[in-house]
Amino acid sequence: MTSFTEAVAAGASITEDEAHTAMLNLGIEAQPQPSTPASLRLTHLAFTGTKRLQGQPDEPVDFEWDFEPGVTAISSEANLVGKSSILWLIRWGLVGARPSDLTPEVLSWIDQVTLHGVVAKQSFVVEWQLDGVDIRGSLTVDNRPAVTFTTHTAFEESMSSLMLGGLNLRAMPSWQKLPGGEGDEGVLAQHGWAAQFHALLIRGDKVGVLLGQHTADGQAQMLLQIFLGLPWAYTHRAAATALKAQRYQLQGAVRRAKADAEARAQSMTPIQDRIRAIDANLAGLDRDAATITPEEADRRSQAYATATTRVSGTLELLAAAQRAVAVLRTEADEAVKRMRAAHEDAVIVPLIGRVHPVACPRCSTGFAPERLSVEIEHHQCSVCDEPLHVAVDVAAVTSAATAAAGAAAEALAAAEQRDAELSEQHHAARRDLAAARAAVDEVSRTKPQAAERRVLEIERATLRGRAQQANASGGAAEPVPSIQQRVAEAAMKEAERRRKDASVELLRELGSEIVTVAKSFGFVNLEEARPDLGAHLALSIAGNATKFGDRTPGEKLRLKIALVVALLRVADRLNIGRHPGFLMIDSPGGEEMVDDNVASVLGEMQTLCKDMAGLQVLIATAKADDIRAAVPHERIIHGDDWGPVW
Amino acid sequence: MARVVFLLRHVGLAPDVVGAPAGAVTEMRSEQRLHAADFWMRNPDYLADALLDDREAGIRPDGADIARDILSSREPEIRRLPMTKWRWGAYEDLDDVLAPLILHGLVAHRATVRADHKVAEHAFWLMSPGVEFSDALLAAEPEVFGWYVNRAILIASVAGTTPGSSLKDRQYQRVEYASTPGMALIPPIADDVRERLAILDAAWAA
Repeated sequence: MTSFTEAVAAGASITEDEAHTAMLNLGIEAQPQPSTPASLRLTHLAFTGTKRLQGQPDEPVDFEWDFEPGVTAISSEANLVGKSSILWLIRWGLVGARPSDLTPEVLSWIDQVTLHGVVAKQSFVVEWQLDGVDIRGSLTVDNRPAVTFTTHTAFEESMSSLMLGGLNLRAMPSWQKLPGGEGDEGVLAQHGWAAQFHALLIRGDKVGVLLGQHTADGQAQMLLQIFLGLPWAYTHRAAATALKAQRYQLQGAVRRAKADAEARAQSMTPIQDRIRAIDANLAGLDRDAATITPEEADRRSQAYATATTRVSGTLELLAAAQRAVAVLRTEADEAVKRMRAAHEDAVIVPLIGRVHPVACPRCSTGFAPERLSVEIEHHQCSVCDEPLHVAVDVAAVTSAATAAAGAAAEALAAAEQRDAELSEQHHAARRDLAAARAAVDEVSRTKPQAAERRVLEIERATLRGRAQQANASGGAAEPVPSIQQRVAEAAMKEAERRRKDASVELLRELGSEIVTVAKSFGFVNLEEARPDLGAHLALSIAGNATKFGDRTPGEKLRLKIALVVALLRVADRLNIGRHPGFLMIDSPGGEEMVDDNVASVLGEMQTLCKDMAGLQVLIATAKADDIRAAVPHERIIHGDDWGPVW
Repeated sequence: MARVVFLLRHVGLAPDVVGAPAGAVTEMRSEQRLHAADFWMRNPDYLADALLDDREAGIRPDGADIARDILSSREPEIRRLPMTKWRWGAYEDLDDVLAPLILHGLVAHRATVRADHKVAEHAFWLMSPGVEFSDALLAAEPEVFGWYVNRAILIASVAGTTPGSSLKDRQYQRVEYASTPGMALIPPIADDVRERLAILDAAWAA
């Protein structure tokens, strides 16, 4: 047969050495848990103190009882008179943990408790004193030196060590889910002796679970498998717990990776948004203006300066030309006037010369004929006696004036031509200047864009670098199951398989025994009981399929007792299992068990104890009549007149 | 000389039957009227401005068109003969011009002297030889002297029978004329009148 480690290695696809190492690290032991039964017996209980009841004088307490194997009953005819508190003190002494069921008043009455017992043939004495909330005590095993304790925790550790070792039990690893936690979120815990003691205690007021008191953390199935002595149960439990721990670690890693990814994505969002915004801005800049190199900008600036100089130069030349035109036009106009005057004179002078003087222009007195004859005879002016016919070359004057007017007109035309040319040059220069200014304006508009583009490109490159770096550093693959998790899973499956194989016959035997015991408890119509590894119990009653959870509280109580009795019987018959043969039953009959059923239960317990030497059952019940009928008087703990037990 | 002859002939009025010398064809009573008419002939821009006044006043429908012709033909520049401003406006001593005309019997002149021996008024008459003389000028050079004829007729149409002092008052309406200091040349107003015509044309076109 393949070894467990080999099977795990194959299941995890690793080597056997790797599987072995991983199992060691995970605390998974490959052993079928040989189940050699060991017994636990209570032999003596004593406690002292002072009972303080309101309105009554203090009453000293000094309880002492020697216990024998078989059934011991604790009874009274009324409730709340100390029956259960004796069970809780016993439980306290055997477990080391103060039971919460002890009321503060009762607790305050107790000063000292001493408990004697035998576990796996080792005698032990545990005693403790109470002083308010403080505790101190000691544990003595056989003749070995007593181990003292001064705290409740140390007390519990001492008893756990003694009982687990003596009863071949071990703390079962457990993965306790945290309230409100996600997935497998929880903490690694141990189900120690205190938890396993629940298999030794049946309470009439807590019958909801087949074995133990609750289902949290798989307690019921754990107790069933432990005390049934199921092989591979511990291995399976350890592997399952390790797997949950590994899964929790993986979930944590996945959660952290997811959180990291989300945080990374969140941190990347503004970066990506900014990169997109920069892309849009750069696209806008690209559309709006082409790149103008610094050399081109310089060339345009130089062209503008040149155009400005040229405009100034042409404007100056044009102004001078216009001034020249104005002067020449005036001169031409004046020349025309002179020419016209010359022409007029050329007509007037000859005409006026032919007219004889008539009167003095000064006094308008007419000239005498004698004065006029002077002109004819002596060719002298009749007015001033100056010689007449002084030759005046009117034609020459007119010609000169005409020539001057022509010259002036030509000069003016030339000036106007020059003016027109300069005007055109000036206008061309102004057009060039406008173009140069537009080019410079474009540079002015473009320069900030070029600077802005460069800033944006640098920023975008920086952001892209950050994004790439973030992706490179944070883009790790999602965490995958570790080798340890794979080993835990493979180990759990393998242990499950082996445990299941081993459980078939045991569970069948257990079911059969449950039917037998339950029938003796009054379940006359119970035909079949099928317990499973999940601590479920399927039933067939009078041909009807039902299950433990659907029964009445009284039936549940009887089935719980029947299960423990069946465990003990199967263990006794097959020499397998770990139940120590110690059972405490509190308040049977308190849960709708009719009197006949209580009696039948008590009778069956008596029969069981006869069949199984060393079995010890403590029953606390207010069914005093049934107790008296079924239990010898010396095995009944009761008070005076069946009143308060202590 | 020709300018005065044509002004006397066309701007002058019919001679007074009482005081005029025998043979007088036209009469220019007062030297101011002669100066005012001579100012318009020597300053076509002021004449164009007066024509626009009459056009705007509704007195002369063709005033703007005639003014536009005057201005577009650059008469204000090539016909301008500046005049000096003296006590009563544009003034120029006429002695040199009138001397040969009177000498040869083309024009007759008489000054009315007051009791203080100062001249109260100058009166000028164009005599028949003066008319013949002007006809001879026109015949000799119609193109040269025709302008004087037309311009003297135009001035006569603007001046009407208005006395010389009133014509001077009208010419004083131009601020450039009125603000010219004494003995200074009265400045041209051609550019201003051209702008005025453009504005009026635009307004009439609207």
